[in-house]
Amino acid sequence: MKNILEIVFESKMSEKKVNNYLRRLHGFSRGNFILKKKGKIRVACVEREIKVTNSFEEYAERMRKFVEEAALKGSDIVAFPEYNFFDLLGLIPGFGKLNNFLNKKAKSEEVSNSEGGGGEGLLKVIFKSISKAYQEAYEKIMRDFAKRYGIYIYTGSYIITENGNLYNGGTLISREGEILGRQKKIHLTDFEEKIGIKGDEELKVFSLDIGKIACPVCMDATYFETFRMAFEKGAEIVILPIANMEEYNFWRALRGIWPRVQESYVYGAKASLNGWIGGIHFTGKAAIFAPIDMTENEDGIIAIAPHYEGDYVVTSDLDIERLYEVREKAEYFKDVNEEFEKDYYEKVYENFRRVKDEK
Amino acid sequence: MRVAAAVFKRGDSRSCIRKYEEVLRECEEKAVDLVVFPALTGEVCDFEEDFIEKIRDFSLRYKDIAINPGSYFENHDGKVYHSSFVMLNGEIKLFQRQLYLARWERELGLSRDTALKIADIKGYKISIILSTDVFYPQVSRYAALKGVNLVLSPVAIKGQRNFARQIAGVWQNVQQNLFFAIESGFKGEYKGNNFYSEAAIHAPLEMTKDDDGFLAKEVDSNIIIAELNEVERQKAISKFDVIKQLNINSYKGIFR
Repeated sequence: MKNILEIVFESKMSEKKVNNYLRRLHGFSRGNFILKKKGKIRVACVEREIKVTNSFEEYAERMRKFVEEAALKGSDIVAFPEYNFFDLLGLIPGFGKLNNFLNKKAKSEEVSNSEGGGGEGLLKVIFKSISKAYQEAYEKIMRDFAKRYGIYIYTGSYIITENGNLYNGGTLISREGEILGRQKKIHLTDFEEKIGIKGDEELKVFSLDIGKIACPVCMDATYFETFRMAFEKGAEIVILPIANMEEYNFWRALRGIWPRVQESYVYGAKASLNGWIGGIHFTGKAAIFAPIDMTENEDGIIAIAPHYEGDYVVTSDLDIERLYEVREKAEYFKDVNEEFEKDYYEKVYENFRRVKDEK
Repeated sequence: MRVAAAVFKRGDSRSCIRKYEEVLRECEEKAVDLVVFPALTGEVCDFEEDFIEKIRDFSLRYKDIAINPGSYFENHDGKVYHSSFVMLNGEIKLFQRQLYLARWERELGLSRDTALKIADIKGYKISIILSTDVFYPQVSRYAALKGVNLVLSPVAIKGQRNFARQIAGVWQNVQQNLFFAIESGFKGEYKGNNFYSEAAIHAPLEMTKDDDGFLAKEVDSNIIIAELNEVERQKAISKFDVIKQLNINSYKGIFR
């Protein structure tokens, strides 16, 4: 039986509402595209602020404007952040007032409630309730936008329900509006574990005409294993949606995708969510990274948003052919130690699990 | 445990014996338990006799200081390795050959070790993650999952001074494995290559004063010192436990 929240979400994001919204959209002139140099692809990463709304149409329109901006900048692909649906918690009756109260309280106490404040059970109910209606409505508008603007879209992440389990994952959509696949988060945060989200066990790499792309989610970039597997599967670009629930700190922000790009010699594209919701503060800069040898300032950064809060579309051109050249010439990359790597999984991970279980 | 990283400036290798002496004397004065020297010192320094024997001489004179003297090229069974060790009171407690090779090391025809060694020294479980190995994260992960809580890293990073390159080495390995690390860097030339690397003492970000992952950073002195506190490290881990959230089932076939 459906709970009241499911009924609310289904009614506010119904197929009829989505279709009506899409019918009202005007065409798009491709003449505005900016030409790129031959052999390069242009990537756009969205950094955006959460703006709680009780209107799915208003939310959809915000997303469309980001896609349009990316398309007008000549981007081949645009990536959205993690937990890209938080704005729509405003569909819950009374949520706006509660949210204002919690945010005001957290700001006045200068404490971000990043532990969830003990409301894990409630959040699980909310996430489960919004999952189906949001996924259907959001994927439908994003498929339309991809086709309308002729651009690949990585949707950012949202709650995906499969076999009764909740996952945090995102979807890659083709220029023709087809769903190419989904990637669910592999490494969970303690908070996600508490609210009952499950982790995926497979990293996929999608082979597109613009490059081979992996789309792990946020915390996955804290682990070299994610990028090692992406590299082994041929990835050239790793897109990473993030929603960091902490005050911005240069060093904390550095713990994720940047070092992974340096280790694995792939391009990294980070899309970021920011703002306040439920007394939790999210911060983070959208950015596009490359191996240090490939960047003008020798800092591994190709493009980065000017601030960790606000709305930006960060774009940059990537040269896949040059990436392979740099991999070949790199000083600290691609050496192989067959003996050390032989049975690495068994001697390192399985052994660790065995020792832990014995304790 | 009080630990130190030797700070070598460009040109210090021309008067190495004096520099080692100064560093060790200062360590003794400041009651340092363990000190790490930069990589390649055994090659670029003016030691007239065998590197190990010279370090043994220091070690016997500076009792109770565990010395990681940097690194040297070791000839063994017709092969040449980039090697390092820890010596305490004249006895080698831990010996490590580099596991991965940089391009310049491959061009010299160096060989690789096959395993990472671990030793209990002064109450810490210690590994040496030597120079190039800091850029291969599987080495650090191996150490962390075997329970290593202190990593010693003599490094020689090829190229000009580059903050990003330095951070991409030991610093990021500490943050994704949450052990302590002592890094001491070589600055200078060797076999026509230029190197620039700095000294630092690292800890999980959550336990460092400026939230930056550094217990001590290179300054204009012979050594930098930090006090390692295992209880504080455990508290930091409880705030951000990276290892706990490993998804082991997903790593099958990680090195194909």
